[in-house]
Amino acid sequence: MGPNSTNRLRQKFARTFELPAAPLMDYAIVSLVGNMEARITNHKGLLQYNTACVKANSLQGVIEVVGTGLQIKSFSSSEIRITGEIQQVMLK
Amino acid sequence: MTAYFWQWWQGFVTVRLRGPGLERLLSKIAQAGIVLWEVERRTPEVMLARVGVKDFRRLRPLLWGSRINICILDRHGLPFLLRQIRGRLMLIAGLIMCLVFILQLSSYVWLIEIAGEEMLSFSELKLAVQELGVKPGVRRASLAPRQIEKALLLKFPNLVWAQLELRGVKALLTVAERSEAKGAAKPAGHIFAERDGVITQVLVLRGTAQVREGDTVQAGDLLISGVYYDGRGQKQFGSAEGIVRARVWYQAVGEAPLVVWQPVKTGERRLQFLVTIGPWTIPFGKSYSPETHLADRKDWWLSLGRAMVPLGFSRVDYWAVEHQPVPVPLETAKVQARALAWDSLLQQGLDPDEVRSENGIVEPMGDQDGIRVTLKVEAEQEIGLFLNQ
Repeated sequence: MGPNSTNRLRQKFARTFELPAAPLMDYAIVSLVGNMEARITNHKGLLQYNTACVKANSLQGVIEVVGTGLQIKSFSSSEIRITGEIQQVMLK
Repeated sequence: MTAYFWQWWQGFVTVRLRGPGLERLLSKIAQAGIVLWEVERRTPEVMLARVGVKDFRRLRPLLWGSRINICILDRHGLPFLLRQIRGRLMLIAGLIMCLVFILQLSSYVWLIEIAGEEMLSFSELKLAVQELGVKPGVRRASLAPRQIEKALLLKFPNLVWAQLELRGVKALLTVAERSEAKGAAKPAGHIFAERDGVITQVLVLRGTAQVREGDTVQAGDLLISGVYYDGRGQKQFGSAEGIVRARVWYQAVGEAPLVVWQPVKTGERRLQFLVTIGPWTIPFGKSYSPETHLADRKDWWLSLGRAMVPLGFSRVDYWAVEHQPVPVPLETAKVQARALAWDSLLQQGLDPDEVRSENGIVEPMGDQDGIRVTLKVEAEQEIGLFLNQ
């Protein structure tokens, strides 16, 4: 059973039992608190980090947070918390 | 804040990571279950981050094989603090003893304040509360404020309310006195002259005038009699009321030296330290007389906000002095002598606003070492004094 079929099975399971898809499908979740804080949950590693841009990998693609004075407040396997003045959040 | 406290409790270090591919390393660290915080990018090859003490030990193996080096910049938290003070047991013991000592001292009453007294004197009330056991150095727990309040109300019939509050080391007694009933009948009596003078105005509100404007009176003379005839022509004896103003004269003398002996420091200094615990002062070192030494004292009091702890430390610098004669300019001496004479006039009860004329005579003193100013002042003031019979 390949990863695609596993994903399809999970999606079907979530739909049948009306469960939230994000935890089952291992989707990345990006939460914004105003333009001052961003949280990336379920990331798959850090790709780039400087004060203007933070790029994190996820199963859905690369999540890019652009802004000024960016800083990683906390970094763990499950979550990246970024503070600073956030201008753009992109999924590529 | 809670997170920071927890990190501080467990201890954390600020590390500097230097080398290429720092993002890759960070991902590797996260995968190993290590949490980093306050990750700061300084340059493309330098990053600062904070990591827990326990996690730091797990961090080093992850760096093996990479070209990244790590160094600790700073250490924070309780484990490091404990390590620092481990070798200073006496300091901790001293701090604990000091704390216990302060706590012990704060369980006593050291200050007594009285508020709200009007007719009763402060010293009278203070003496009364001291007799009831409220005095500096008494244990707070041994005082029963409600009973003391009751005892005070019984002791002073004029008191209508009393409250004893124990605020830290201070006992605050607040009292309210019975106000005199309005319209209470004044006792019968006459108005007499308080000073010698020449009458300038007589205004009788009740009673019979015994003097007229222009009369010369001496202290003790009757001015307004309390005897009068009412509307029905009947003789009554009541309380004399009225205003009697007169020209009066005051005289006072002030003296000032033309040479003063001023202390000049010789440079010799002696030190004395004083430790004050409540009402007791323990000196360390000798005291010197103010005639031979000038004292320069500095006090430090230990206080904890409103709960003042009566623990003080003082340092007294005694400077040895020699007295040398310094001439005083005549004008300065005149001003000083005049000021002294005025002080004396004010003490005699003269109101400066009532002064009509002033005459001063300056003369040298017998030994030529000073001057004497004799002030004669004329004033117009009320001289009536009511005395009941």
